[in-house]
Amino acid sequence: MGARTRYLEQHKKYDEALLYTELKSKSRKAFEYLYDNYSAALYGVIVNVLRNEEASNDALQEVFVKIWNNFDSYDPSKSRLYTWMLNIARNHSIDKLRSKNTADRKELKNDKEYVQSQKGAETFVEGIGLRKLVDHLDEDQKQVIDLLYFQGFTQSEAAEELNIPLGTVKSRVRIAIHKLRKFF
Amino acid sequence: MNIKELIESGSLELYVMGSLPPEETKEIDELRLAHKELNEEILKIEDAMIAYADTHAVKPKEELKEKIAGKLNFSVNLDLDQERVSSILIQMPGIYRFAAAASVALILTFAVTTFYYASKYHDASSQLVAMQSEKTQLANQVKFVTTESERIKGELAIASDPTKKMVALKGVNIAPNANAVVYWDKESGKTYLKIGAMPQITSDQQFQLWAMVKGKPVDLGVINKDGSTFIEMKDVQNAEAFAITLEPLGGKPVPDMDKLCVIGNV
Repeated sequence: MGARTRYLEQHKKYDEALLYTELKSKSRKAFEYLYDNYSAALYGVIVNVLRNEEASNDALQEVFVKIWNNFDSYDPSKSRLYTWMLNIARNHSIDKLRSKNTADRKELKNDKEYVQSQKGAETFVEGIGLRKLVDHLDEDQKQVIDLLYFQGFTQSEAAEELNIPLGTVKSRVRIAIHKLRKFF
Repeated sequence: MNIKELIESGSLELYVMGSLPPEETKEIDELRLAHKELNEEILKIEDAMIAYADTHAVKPKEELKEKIAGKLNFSVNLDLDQERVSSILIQMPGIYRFAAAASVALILTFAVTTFYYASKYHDASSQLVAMQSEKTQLANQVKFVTTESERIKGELAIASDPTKKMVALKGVNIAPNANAVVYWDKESGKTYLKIGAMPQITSDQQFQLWAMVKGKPVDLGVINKDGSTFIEMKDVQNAEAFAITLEPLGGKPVPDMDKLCVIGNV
């Protein structure tokens, strides 16, 4: 079974129109649907940004409340609903991270606990059979996407962090996403 | 930058990841409404980023689900508690039991019909969502086309007005290949400039338009590119010729004739 087929099977459940109608109803059933299908992806983003279990658990709850209460402000012409939810998770986590000071964020990066939690995440991802797809990316391509997407770096912050020219950040991201697009 | 260049620039990828500065984000928000191919490209990038997020999915701990549910307001849903209903039924005398059974049958019929229409409603509202988004896109395209056509109409009015004289400015000295056109209304003195090919300038330089009146240069203002084809300059009477020079930012009261780029007689 090819990577693409496996991905599609995994994702049959993601039906934007269905989710939209469900969420509009704000029923308990809608919550079940939202949680069962999307909580792992949202939590994944949160964990990748915050890298701390307790903070991530708090953030997941806050993110769900935000999605639930701000659903009326979602604009279908600006993004997919899924992207909108992922961005709420991401931006909320980054805000949380930034409100802590930069020094202890750097410490956390080298923390044993962090390495441990990373291992846990990888095992889980292995379990759903998608990890291989990310392996198509080079280390430096993964790095730049992670900095921008999970750490909320701006283009110039990423250029500085990686010590590469500004234009290279853009071209590297473009190549990386192009590679991902071939498989999804 | 045209659409193809924008697609190839890598900016769209940053747009989807939310890493572009707000003004560039806003620009793309608007452009994607008017350009279908741009919008499709963005959706594909979104799909790739969704997939990327999925590869990082981590299942939260079981107990979080109930904790979260406790923080949300749900719409009310009437649920019949079956056991309680049956126990009430058994305690009833015959006639009431019959009446109760009849009303339960009625409620059931009602529930089935409701369910049927609810699922119809569900389908219809999914379609409605799709159509609403299509409608917003169309409305925005119409808006874009309307403003474009207003702009073009205004420009056409200037270019085709018979009271305006067209003066072609040709390249000289430092810019032999440059050209520009001035539309000048002799009566009112109104002057519009259409820039053709002009040499590259640095950010501390600016072009300045002059009119020759009785052999002397008169300042008609520095040229600020604002995106419109015809730039309205200062009014001038009795012009004999028009010329553009390259000057330091902000322009000068008297032109530097060594920096003459284009000139044309009325």
